[in-house]
Amino acid sequence: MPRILLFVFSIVLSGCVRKPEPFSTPAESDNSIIFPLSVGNGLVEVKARENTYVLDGEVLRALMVVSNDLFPPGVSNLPCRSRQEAHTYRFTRRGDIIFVYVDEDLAHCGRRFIAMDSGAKYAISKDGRILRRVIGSEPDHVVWRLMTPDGGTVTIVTEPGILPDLEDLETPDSGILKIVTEPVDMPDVMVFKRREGRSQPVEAEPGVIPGVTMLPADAGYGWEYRDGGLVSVPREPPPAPSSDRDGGSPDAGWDGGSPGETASGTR
Amino acid sequence: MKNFGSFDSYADALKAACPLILSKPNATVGYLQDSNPDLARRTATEYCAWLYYTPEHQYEMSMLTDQSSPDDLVTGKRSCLLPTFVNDLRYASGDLKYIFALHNHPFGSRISPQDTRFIEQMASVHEWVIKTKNNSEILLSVIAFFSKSKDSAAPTCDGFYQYTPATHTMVMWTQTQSRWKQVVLDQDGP
Repeated sequence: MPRILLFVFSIVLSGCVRKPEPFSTPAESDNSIIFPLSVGNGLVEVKARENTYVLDGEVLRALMVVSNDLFPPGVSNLPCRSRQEAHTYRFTRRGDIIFVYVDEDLAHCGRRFIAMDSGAKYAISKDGRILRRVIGSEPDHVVWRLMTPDGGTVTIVTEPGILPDLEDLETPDSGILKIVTEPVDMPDVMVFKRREGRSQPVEAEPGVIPGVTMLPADAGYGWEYRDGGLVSVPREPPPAPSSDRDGGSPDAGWDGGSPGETASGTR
Repeated sequence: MKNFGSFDSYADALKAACPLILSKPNATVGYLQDSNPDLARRTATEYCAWLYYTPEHQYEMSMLTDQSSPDDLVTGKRSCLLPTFVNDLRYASGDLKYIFALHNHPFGSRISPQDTRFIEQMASVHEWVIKTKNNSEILLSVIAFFSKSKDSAAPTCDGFYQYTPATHTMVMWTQTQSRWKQVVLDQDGP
């Protein structure tokens, strides 16, 4: 009998000392929620050494829900970069939803470079429920800027995995979720635009290697800094042709290539 | 990295790196996203490595960095911390040329804002453009491999996203039956 009791107690106790785990707060995964694209009236950095601030309880609870969901309390001996206090917490409230963005605070641990996919963002209801969370490289909505025939642009938000065209604006269920009228100035919002004449994925052509960021030696082009970036410009006279595979010579399969226009921006 | 390469062309190195990285445990979880999104989120793991060019004109991959160490698993972070430099004892550190920051995206998504920031930071340390033999030139970029496979035991390399900071260009490369397609996207200022 005592041995049975001991067994029962050990099961109960093992439940009590359960290892803290992330994502322990139930979430609703409401993918219809679009994270704000605008900072509103401004992005204000809290400087507690210089000023005094008042934070309402609903925002404080939202921040606590996020930090405890991502960094479970009770875990000790974490490396500096994995600690709650080694991150920044940017937040904005839109109606009844508080949006929280978590990023690495490099200065806290004396680091210089961030980790890939190290961000996280949450949508929290005013009563403290997690409505949506996007961790690291999880799929999220995409912001596009499309050219209009009159030379203007229209900014839209789409489902992930969509390559929108202007015609899609008139098409139901095209994956376009929103036409954006506000300024897009929220940090870490990436805005994409399609290359003109490239409305659909381009079939491979021989001669350029997938993944290429390279200008072949025989391409007759070089790199120059112009307009704040590198652009390819013709070289005179062009170098002699090369059979080196680095030069993107035609090949089968992986090397079998792709279109003449490459990631290098060769135009 | 042992049992990897070296390679005469970076395309061959990419060809070998993609399935190798995607075959690591939980490197692809997109197949779980609809049926069990919580499990997908908890198990998703990123691996990263440098593809670099040696003085012997070979393309090599560094050891894989797996930041899903016990410390990282107890937090919700699903990031990958790639060291700035590769320690290849055969060469002086300054003789190595860094080309691609390789990693996987378990859900198959595009390059994240943190990825672009990372490679832009790396561009302040490494050369934006490196010259290979015969004066070919390669631009520094970050690459995220993805698989659309439903078979977690044998994920296929279905393509990758690539962002080049020098040109602010993102390319989605997809492979179907050994044919490659690309979509070139330019990053527009907000």
